[in-house]
Amino acid sequence: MLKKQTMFPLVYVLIAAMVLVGCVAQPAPSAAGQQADGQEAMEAEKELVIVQGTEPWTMDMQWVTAQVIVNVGNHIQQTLLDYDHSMTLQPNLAVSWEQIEPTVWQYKLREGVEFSNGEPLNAEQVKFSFDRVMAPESDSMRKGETRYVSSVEIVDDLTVNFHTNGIIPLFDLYVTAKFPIVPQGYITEHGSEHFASNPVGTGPYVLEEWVKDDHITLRKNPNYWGDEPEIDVLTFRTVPDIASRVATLLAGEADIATDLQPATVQEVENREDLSVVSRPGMRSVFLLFNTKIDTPVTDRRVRQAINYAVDKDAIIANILDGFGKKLEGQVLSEEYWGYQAALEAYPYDPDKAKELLAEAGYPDGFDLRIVSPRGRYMMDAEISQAVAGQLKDVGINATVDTLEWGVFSEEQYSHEGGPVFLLGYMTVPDAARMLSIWHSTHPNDQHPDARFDELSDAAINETDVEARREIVKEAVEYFREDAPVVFLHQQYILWGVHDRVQNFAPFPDGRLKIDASIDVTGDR
Amino acid sequence: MSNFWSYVIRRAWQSLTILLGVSIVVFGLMHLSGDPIRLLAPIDTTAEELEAIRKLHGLDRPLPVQYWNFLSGVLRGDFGKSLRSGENALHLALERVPATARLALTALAFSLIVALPFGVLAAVKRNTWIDRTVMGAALIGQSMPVFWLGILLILVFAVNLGVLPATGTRAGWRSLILPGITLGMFNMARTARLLRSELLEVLQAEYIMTARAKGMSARVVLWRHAFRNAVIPLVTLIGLDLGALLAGSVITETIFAWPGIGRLSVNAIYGRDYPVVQAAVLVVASIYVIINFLVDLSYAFLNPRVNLS
Repeated sequence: MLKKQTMFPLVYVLIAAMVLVGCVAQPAPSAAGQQADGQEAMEAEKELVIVQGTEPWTMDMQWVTAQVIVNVGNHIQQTLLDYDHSMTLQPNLAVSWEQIEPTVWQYKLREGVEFSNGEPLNAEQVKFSFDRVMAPESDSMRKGETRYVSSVEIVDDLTVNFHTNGIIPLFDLYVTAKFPIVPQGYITEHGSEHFASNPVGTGPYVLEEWVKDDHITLRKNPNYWGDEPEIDVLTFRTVPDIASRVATLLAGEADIATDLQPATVQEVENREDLSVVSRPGMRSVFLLFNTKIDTPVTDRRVRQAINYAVDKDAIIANILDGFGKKLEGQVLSEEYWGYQAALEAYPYDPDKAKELLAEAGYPDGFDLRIVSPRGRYMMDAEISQAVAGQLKDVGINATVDTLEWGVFSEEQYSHEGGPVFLLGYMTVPDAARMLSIWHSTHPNDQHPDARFDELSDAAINETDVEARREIVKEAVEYFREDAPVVFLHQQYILWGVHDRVQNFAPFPDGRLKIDASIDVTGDR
Repeated sequence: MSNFWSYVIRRAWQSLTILLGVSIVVFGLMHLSGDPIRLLAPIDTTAEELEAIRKLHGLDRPLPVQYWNFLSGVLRGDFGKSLRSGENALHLALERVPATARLALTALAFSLIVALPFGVLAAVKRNTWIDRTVMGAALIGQSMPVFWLGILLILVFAVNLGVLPATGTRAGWRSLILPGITLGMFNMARTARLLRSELLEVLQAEYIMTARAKGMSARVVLWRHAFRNAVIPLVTLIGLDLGALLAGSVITETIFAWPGIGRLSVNAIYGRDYPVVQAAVLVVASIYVIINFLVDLSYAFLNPRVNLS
């Protein structure tokens, strides 16, 4: 009984300890956090807070590429070339570039650029950056992007020659617009693991603090070579749940919330101090046919019939609340080189669909399985369900299997699943590059077609611009006719933005970039 | 060797066996669930390039060989490197433990601070409107889904009233209040209900009647005799709750963007980042096993009727 008696105070000691540990033993608030609490500091310093849905898992942009990583990383690390808002290539760390021989591209580097640790930007750094990923022992996920490079040659301190594997007419677009240049000395000294959490680059901001899964704070780089940004501190926060992300914006804790859903738009628009920024993005959403297994969709007429049977306008209006732009018979948006403005979408025509199905020998329809992700693309599972409903009207008994993304991918890459998958693709803005995903040698291709392979090869390799234009036109038209997909829509970029943010607009590829033109005024 | 030490050694051995089992299950499930390289590589990576990257990560080897490599690494304290970031997987898991522990302890503190007085009140005022109100509220607290309660609290206290932060940790201790309440609500309700029923049982016991007969005040009888005995089963429950709170705060961490091990695990599972999932699960399992072990030990100490052998 004595031992029982000793237990009673123990409970209170336990509670006291918990209160103490739980409420007091906090980590010291971050520098940015302290500033958030201090009104005076807020006035002295301009801070922009962005909430994203996914946490960047590395800051080594040479290791892996993902939107959330690029959104943070492109303020720290830079590329030789960059895109403007129309996705046209612009000088960045390189001031000029040209194809001096069929298999040699020469880049002239910007003079006087330094990494934030003081290392100069020169040809050696560029060579190191590419060699680091191309090395046999490199396990970078971006290795594939360097497949066009056979070697990097240092011509002089500020001139680099890229020797390419074969003639690559759009080498600049394919390779040098998204590939970051990293500091050789820093990485050699500290190692790649350190670099992944403590990146150094030539960009307008430097990393100040990274509390994993919570926030990343970037501060203005005092030695930046370009125009000085107006905003002193960029804070990227991760709030995975969409309702919480919107609430964070509504509560005045953020200036920009990325990746809204149509259902959350009204909530943001109801507020006088918030706006929804939207525009059609470069990601094309479609239903992919797997014709490698024996199902009715191996017949072109059936694939065309399904294209006629799906009412794209209704999906955009009713499920996406207008936040989608119909694909005009191509998996491309107008930012892509080779976009065919004259091409039109398959019209919604259930009678024509039935006619084609009867012609193909399926007057009574058939069973069809649609495999859909959930939460990967805007309203993806709901769109799949709507398509299944519309297909029932033409006699196709479609069912939807909604799978977690990893399981979905496993089935897709098995080439034995489906036969219909809901997907959204985006590549560098070149039609030939996008279409090359349907080349029979590509791991994603589910519809091998000899004629399309010929067109795709020719479109990638043709060096004469006019001839290339014609080939791409033919390839895009053939793709529409052959219908290896059901063309749906361009996914919208849908962000909530506080009105104190000035001159802000997202890029068509969904990238977030805070440059010198963007400013903030007043308080949240 | 005393009974105590042989018990400790036996339990430690059992714990190791459990952790080995956990490692096999998590390794097997993860490796059967999909290809991490395909998920991470850009869309236009060719089959040969994918295979080359798999080979560099050792993912082309037979599963038993991969498991053996993993297990021998774990014994050396090497859980491998994250497939997504290249960072030390164990380090990634361990650096999230303090945030999860802060949240779990806050939730536990909240649940006890509320549950103990209200549980006692309900028992003392048995079958009155107070009892019915407290128990009704407890039932509601126990029934509310975490994700619903979390969003509701955010909307009320952050968006409408603006008195507490919605998400994240930037507001220091104030950031802990809403996620702490959300995570602790279920435990609070259950603890209050359990305490009430235990207390009612004890209050019927003969020694309580004896104490009353001796002329002790109701207050002394309640706190010195009844409460102390009624609270014994709670000690076990608190220990198990703490383990469950540490392991089960995934939804709360997601809603409140709390940088804990639950969110790390979920992100790693979605990305098929095998080494990080394995490290995170084994860290959580170890904490759970250790807490259980300590609870068993403390229970044996507190209650002499429990035989260690």
